[in-house]
Amino acid sequence: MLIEFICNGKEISVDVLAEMRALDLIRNELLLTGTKCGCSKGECGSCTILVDGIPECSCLLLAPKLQGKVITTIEGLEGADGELHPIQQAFLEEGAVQCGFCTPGMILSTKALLKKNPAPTVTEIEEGLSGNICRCTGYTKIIKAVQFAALKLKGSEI
Amino acid sequence: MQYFLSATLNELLLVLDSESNSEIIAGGTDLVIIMEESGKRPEKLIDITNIKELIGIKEEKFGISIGAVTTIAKLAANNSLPCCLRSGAASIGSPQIRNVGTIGGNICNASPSGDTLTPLICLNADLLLQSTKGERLISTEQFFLGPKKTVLKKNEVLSEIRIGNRYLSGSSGFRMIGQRNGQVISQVNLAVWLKRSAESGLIEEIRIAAGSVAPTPIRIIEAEEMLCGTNPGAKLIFQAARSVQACITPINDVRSTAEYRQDVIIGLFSDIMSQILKEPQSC
Amino acid sequence: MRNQELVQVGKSALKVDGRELVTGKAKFSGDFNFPDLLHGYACRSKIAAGYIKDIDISQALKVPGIVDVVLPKDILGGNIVGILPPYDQPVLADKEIRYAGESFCLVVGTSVRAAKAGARVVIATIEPIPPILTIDEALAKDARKIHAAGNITVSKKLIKGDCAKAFAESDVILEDTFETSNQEHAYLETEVVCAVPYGDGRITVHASCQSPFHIRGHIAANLNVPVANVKVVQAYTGGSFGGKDDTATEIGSLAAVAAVRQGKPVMISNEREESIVGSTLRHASRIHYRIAAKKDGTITGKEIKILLDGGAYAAESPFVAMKALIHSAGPYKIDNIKVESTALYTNKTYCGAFRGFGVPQVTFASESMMDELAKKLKMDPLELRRKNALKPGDLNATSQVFQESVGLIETIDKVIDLNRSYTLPSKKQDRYLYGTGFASMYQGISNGAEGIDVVGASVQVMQDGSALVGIGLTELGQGSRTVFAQIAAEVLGISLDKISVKQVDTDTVHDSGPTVASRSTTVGGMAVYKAAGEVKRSLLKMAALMFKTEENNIILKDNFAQLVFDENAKIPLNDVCVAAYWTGFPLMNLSFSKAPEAKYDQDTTQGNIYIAYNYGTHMMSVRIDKLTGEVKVLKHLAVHDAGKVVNPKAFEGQVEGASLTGFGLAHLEKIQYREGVIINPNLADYAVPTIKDRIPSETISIETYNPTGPYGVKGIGEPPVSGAAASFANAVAKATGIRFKKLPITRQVILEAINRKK
Repeated sequence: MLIEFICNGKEISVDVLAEMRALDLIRNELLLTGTKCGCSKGECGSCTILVDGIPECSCLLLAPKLQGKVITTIEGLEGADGELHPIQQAFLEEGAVQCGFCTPGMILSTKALLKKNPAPTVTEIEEGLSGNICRCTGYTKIIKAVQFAALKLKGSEI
Repeated sequence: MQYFLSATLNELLLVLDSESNSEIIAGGTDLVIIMEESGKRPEKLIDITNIKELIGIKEEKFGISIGAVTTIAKLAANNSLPCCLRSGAASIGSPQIRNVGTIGGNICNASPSGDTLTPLICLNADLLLQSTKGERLISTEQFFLGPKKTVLKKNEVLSEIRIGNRYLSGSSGFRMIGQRNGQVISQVNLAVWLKRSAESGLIEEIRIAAGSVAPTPIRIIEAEEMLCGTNPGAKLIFQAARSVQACITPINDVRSTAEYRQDVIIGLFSDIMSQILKEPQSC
Repeated sequence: MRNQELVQVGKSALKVDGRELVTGKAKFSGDFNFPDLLHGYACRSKIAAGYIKDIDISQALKVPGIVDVVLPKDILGGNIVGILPPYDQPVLADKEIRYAGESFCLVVGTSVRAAKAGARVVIATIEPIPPILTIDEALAKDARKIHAAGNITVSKKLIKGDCAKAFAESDVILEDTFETSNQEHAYLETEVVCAVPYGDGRITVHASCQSPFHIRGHIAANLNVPVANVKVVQAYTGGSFGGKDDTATEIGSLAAVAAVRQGKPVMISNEREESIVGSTLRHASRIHYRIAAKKDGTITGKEIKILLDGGAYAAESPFVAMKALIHSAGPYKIDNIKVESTALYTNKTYCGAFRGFGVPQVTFASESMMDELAKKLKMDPLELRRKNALKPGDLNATSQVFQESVGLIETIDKVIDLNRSYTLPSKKQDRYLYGTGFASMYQGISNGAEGIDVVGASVQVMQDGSALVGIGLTELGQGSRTVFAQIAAEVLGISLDKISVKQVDTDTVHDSGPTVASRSTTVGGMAVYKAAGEVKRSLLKMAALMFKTEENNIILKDNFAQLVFDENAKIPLNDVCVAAYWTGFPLMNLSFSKAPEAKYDQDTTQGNIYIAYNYGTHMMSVRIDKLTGEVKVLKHLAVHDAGKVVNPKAFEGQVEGASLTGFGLAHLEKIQYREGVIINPNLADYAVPTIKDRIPSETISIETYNPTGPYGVKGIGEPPVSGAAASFANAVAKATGIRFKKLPITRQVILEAINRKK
């Protein structure tokens, strides 16, 4: 079936099998491999993408459900001039990245969180990122990165 | 596999009537996993998330109507809903899951640990089941037959959840516990709704429901009876908690021992009761 | 190096490979894409033990998209993996199934979905035999032998002094038994390899892996080709913690065999469930501990029996048993020690390396006993530890002596000091129980008793003044590429932004063994230090010619060569590099670092084992909900002597991450079996800590100078696991008054124990 949606600002029109997962479409057809597969069960958050600004697990999402939506993957965050998004910069500077496999999902969850809540408390950060598992960092530096990003983004468009 | 995006409820009912090997998909948070794991696909997948009539939370004369395709996230964020239902919704999975998972899905999936089920039972919610043959209203309590088993027929769809005005007016609470703090699957969950008399302050009606402690979520009528007509102090609450404990028949499984389920429900019940009685507006 | 003024080392540097990771551009193994890429999916046993009677693949071959099914007989070179003797593991099970989840054939198809569909219709006839599932069953006199040599994988002894005498003359003897459960690595990226016949007569494998040289050897052996025909390139690796050491050899060999058969690239990407049931776990253990002491708290003897449940294959059990043996007496000066450490086979998922490598298990036992001893002697638990703590010049458990860089007492003193200014919340509210626990630990740095410890590195300076560093040790997220860049930058006076560190390519660097034992910074750092030092000599020689002075009058700093006595007299380093090149001075060096060899007696394990130890003391304060068993960690101090810290922020990251893994081991994580089958092989029922389960770790470093590492460094990757796990157990014991002897101590276990005590 033919589906049309916008991905990272680009109009996409693609023929897919109805049973294809959005994750496989994004990785194998659109070749956007920054979206990771960690469990295929919605339990780790590595495959998180934004659908109309809302974080969802692309492993649980059938591709047809993308019809008419605006989606953002990690590749959509960097500026055209190669400038990092302030959240990416914050993760880098705060040491919130170790192996980096959870990082794209973490960053997208952070983006959705800060859009909804520009100055989250620690508890709100924990709630907002509770769908993203990280096995390397112990999370402390991730919290700091979110706080730092919130500070940097104050008042600006996320 | 064919993918059919249903636009109206009528259309959906007609399709359900005519198709034998079809399956409804709402959020898909359970169904997609099952399909991937088994490799099996229905001939037709009917996506109901575009049916406007099934989405949203509306105030009605009788109380509140919740469309079955309303997401768990929307439920958790809606302040017109009773505390227990909002907390139950907020306890499910992760933000990502709550953003796509629906209340109808949580109900029809009929997991004994579903975190909206006990709130709906204690709020005495009714479920509207529709088919081309007509509709029927069934209380949530009657809906579940066992793990993954409900009274829903093949050509029927759960379209709406109704909570009556009486149950919107009392106070309620919900508490659950799992192995960890984030992305928790309930080892036990418990919901309580009660209404106190405006004059006497005595409990005029109380409903208690527990999940993950039996094949379906269950009501704990014995404890309800113990508390009804009282203004319970710590001692009575503890006695009621003991009776909740006595009424459940939990098993040992991968998530918990039966013993822990028996033990912890005392704490959960006491927590909810003290929250409702001390700070009924806190939620 | 000592007392040298440092520019790069000791400063928090941004992760040199971080940009690729935050933008999603970093290529992990699963991100490779070739137009003719095939996918392999393994058929795995659903029962724990049985004899394979028949594998019928005829239906699978008819599934659309299936191109091949690889059977054991198709592995021409021996069908063996296992990175050390007894080399007892087949790539694909041939005659016998030894654990539930063991693979017996690989279905190869044009997509993952096709391969999976094919795997579903492979019909395996396996005659079940009663599985051996516990330590006791494995040790039973008439037990069936899981392997021909019996059910004991390895048994080692450590004997120091005269234990019998020490116990006879002691004032106090305490004795108890402790147990720990299997723990899963749960790195976010599962094991993935992609084998590619590039048409150059060789086979290249891109792998998510920890030890590329191990994989290379196994692939060559199983393909029956010379090792020189195999190239392994490490892709970005999404965590390993020890777990991708063994497993990558297994699926790497399998993918290579399939790729060679088809002449096309083959990817194997383990699903999460496969990653749990079909790849190594942390050893479950049972430890019997006896301790003898004098009234004044002097520990005079320890007798310890360690039993490690290693699962179906040896994997790294012999080394884990050795490390547990050496560390079981703890970081104390004890004259009489007798330890026996035995690893056993059972019909369960095989166990291997996992951050800590046997040390967390024995530290839990040892530190629980220290607290019990303190209680018995009515001594302060920190004072008891301090009294017995190893100091410079003391003989440790293997009678090895370190004259410096033994900072244990400093870590204890730091905890005493910080604990003084911390008060637990009031105990008035009777809903909660509060308690603070402590644990001291040490962990050997370097391969030590596990054999030769060498690392190769290359440093190449370009004419534009930039530098490329190559190394044989893998970046797994721990930040080693950044540390190596910092060391090269320090030596060469080049800024970090001009330094690039390659991923491991086995073609380009000396076999450096596995990336294990918290040795990257120490032994690997030394290799980079030496290689950079050689290149530096060329640059100094050239600059001396240019300045018309002696070499020792020149320093390299901030991308310039400058005169020591006149910082305004400087030449841009790129000019020096150009000149050096055209003069014919070498700008590249392949260097080699070899740690001092372990020398010890095989029967008593007495002698010099490790090149250094990391010492640490942890403090953890908890609040326990009496009604639910929920535990909240209120405070966690992790004080370590890890030598000189190269990158403080990355150091904190290692401590915070390892501590949460230790907390998971102690409180949350438990692999559960039913008839030998793992029943929670997912991230929902196997409770990996989420962000809501994090603990408030505070990292404190006591810097001592370690002469065996560049700039005095040691290592930090593994040690905090033990400290966090053991201090948690002691905190819970203190709060509840109940000694928990088995990990994990879950909410459930705590509440049940509190209620039973009532």
